[in-house]
Parts: sequence; C-alpha cells; structure tokens
Amino acid sequence: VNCETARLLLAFHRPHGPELGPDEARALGEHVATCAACGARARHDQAFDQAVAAAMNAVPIPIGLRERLLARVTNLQSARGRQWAVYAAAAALLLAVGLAVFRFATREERVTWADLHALVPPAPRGGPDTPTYMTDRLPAGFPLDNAVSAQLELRNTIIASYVQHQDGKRIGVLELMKGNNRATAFLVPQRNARSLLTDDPGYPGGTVMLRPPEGSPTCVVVLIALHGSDPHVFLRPPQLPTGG
Amino acid sequence: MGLYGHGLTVQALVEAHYTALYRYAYRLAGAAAEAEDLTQEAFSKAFAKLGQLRDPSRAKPWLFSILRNAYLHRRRERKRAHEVSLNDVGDVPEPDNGRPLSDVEPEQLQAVLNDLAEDFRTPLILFYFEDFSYRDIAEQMDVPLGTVMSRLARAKGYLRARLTGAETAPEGDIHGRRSAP
Repeated sequence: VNCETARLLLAFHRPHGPELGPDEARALGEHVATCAACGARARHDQAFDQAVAAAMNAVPIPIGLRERLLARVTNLQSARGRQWAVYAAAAALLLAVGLAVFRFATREERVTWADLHALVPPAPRGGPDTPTYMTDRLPAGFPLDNAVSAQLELRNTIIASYVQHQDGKRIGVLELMKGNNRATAFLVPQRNARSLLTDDPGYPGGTVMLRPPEGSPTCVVVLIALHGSDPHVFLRPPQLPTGG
Repeated sequence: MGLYGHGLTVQALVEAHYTALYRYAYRLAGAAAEAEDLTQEAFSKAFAKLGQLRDPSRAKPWLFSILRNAYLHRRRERKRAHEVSLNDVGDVPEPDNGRPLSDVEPEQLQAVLNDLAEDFRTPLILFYFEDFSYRDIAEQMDVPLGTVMSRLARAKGYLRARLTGAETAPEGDIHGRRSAP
C-alpha cells in the first residue's frame, strides 16, 4: 500500500465499521505504522471523527419524552380500538338490516285453503265419496293409490299452466283434462303444502300429494281438485305424506 | 394490540429506539421542539405501518427511514431558507494535519449541520451515529453506495473546514451558492 492508496483507504476507514475488508485494514495498519505522514493523518482523522461523533451524539433527551411517546401510542391504540368497535357495530347493524330486508323480501306468504277455494270452489257437502266417484269416472285401472303414476297420467292432459296471484301469493296452477273430467293442480311450496294438508278444514273432498319422480331436484307438491260435469270433488289421498 | 407476526409492539419500539430516534431528529431539524414532534410522528406512523416491518432486526433503520421521510415532508412544506449544497462545489480541501481537533461543541456542530443541505446532512449524521454502515446509509437514502461515499467525503471536508476554521475551506464558494429563500 502506498501513501495514495492509504489515504484513499483512510477516507473510508471507520474504527468500528466493517467498511474495509480484513486485508485492506491490515495493509492500511501496516502502512500507517511505518509512514509518519500517513500515521499523522490517520491520528488526525481519528481524533476528528471521535470528536465529531461525541458531539453528534451529545443530544440531551427531554425529560418525560419516553412517557409522552408511550402515552401517544397508547392513545393511538385506544383510538384504533374504538374505531374497530364502531366498525364492528356498524357491520353488525348492517348485517341485521340486511337480514331483515332479506327475510322481508323473501318471506313466504302462506297459501291457505281460502286462497285455493277462491280459485276453485270446493266440492259441496253430501256428494259421493271420492273413491267411488273417481272409480266411476277415471279409466279402469287408474292408479289412484300410486301418486306418482297419477301425476304422470295427469301430466298428459295438461291443458293450461299459469301462475295465479291470490292476495299477492303466487300459486302455480295446472289445468288438466282426463276424459270428461277436469282437474286443477295447485303448485305450492312443499313446506306450505304440508301445512295445508295438516290444516285441512274438512271439506268433503280432500287433497292428494303427488310425489315427484325420483331424482327430481325440486319437490313441488300438487294439491289436486278434480271437477267435471259433476260436482267438484277433491281427491282424498291414500295417506298423508310424511317427511320431505 | 399492535402485535404482529414478528411479535413487536410499538411500545417495545419506543422503549428500544426513542433516544436514538430523537437524537437523529434533533440533528436533522436542529431544534428540540421540532425533534420531539418528528419523533412523535415517526412512532405514530410506525404504529400505523407496523405490519409492514418484516424483519424485526431492521426496526431501527426502518424507524430512521420513517422519521427522515416525515422530516422531508415537513421540509417540503416550508422550504428551508438557506442551506448549503455541496453538489456544485469542487473537491473539499485536505485536512490540516497541523491543527488536530480534540473537541467539538455540539452547538457548533449543529450550526454547521443546519447550513448543510439535507442530502449531505443525513449521511453525515448517520455516519457519526456509527450504527449505520455505508450500505445502510445508501438504503436509507435510496441512493447508490458511491453517491453516499462521495457525499460523505464532501460533507466531512466541509465540516472539517468549518470546525477547524481552515483557511483553505471553500467557505466563500459555499456560502455564495446558498439556495435562494
């Protein structure tokens, strides 16, 4: 290392820093130890750096600064906590309102017998009992005991289908024809149909539930009222459905 | 509260670094009141950004960087009236070996720092804090290593000239190039 290189290295040398590699630091040390001019320069630089570093770090810390800083960040944390609480409350409120709106918008108006009878008058009392009536009028072997078959048979005779609005309630209607007889099938949600069956007010007719074919994605319950040239009757089902 | 994956809380950062941060702020700003404001602001921002601190061992340079940005932001808002940029000054003089410096008054040092442009003042401060390598300073200032070396050499030369009153110091040139208010 010559003097020129030594001075260059001195410019970047820091007593406690890793700025010079070990080889450079050793070479500089050896040169400074043997070169009077560079040695004086190194001592001068070192004294200068030490003096400036001491002055640079001689900054009095204000009394209570630590406490003030900690209080500030604690306040910030509290404010953030309150902010989150407000957000959470607002979100909960929004969710509650949303749920209420959703329930209101999707509320299910329950179809009642009165709704259905407004569309198709019930069979008068005193008429023939349903099995006899139907046996006389439906083709021989019409599988009344098999609801699915009955549905399939009736499907062949659909003459109209539409959605009836009764007091704001949506009721699907199928008009069917079989021989001289017409049938009206009401399509209501299965859950609603179950309550209808349960609440059967005891009209001389009855209801029949046509179970959907296996694998049908939706289970639409059909309440059937048959009415032909003779008094309207409701089919009495072989048995009330159970379960879904 | 304030706890992230690295487990650091802003309270822990305050405890560990508030003195160093305040000293840095003081040397940058040159006034105790502004230094405290800057320190408060730095920790407030650190609290808000604590999730961005990936490596807890880099918390100190991270805080210093936040504080410097806060300082620069304030400084842009009220442009410094007079400070010296050494960019246009030629090589600073060689040190005068005949007058070694054994003691520097902190106020005298601050007066010189106050006159220096920030891009020369910051590396000088960080250099003498000794915790920061040249590479750290380059990262802090987002400039190449060579730029840091160059600015440091010029700033140290200027500092030496001002503190020792070296006759060869380029005071006239420097003061003649003070930026306009």
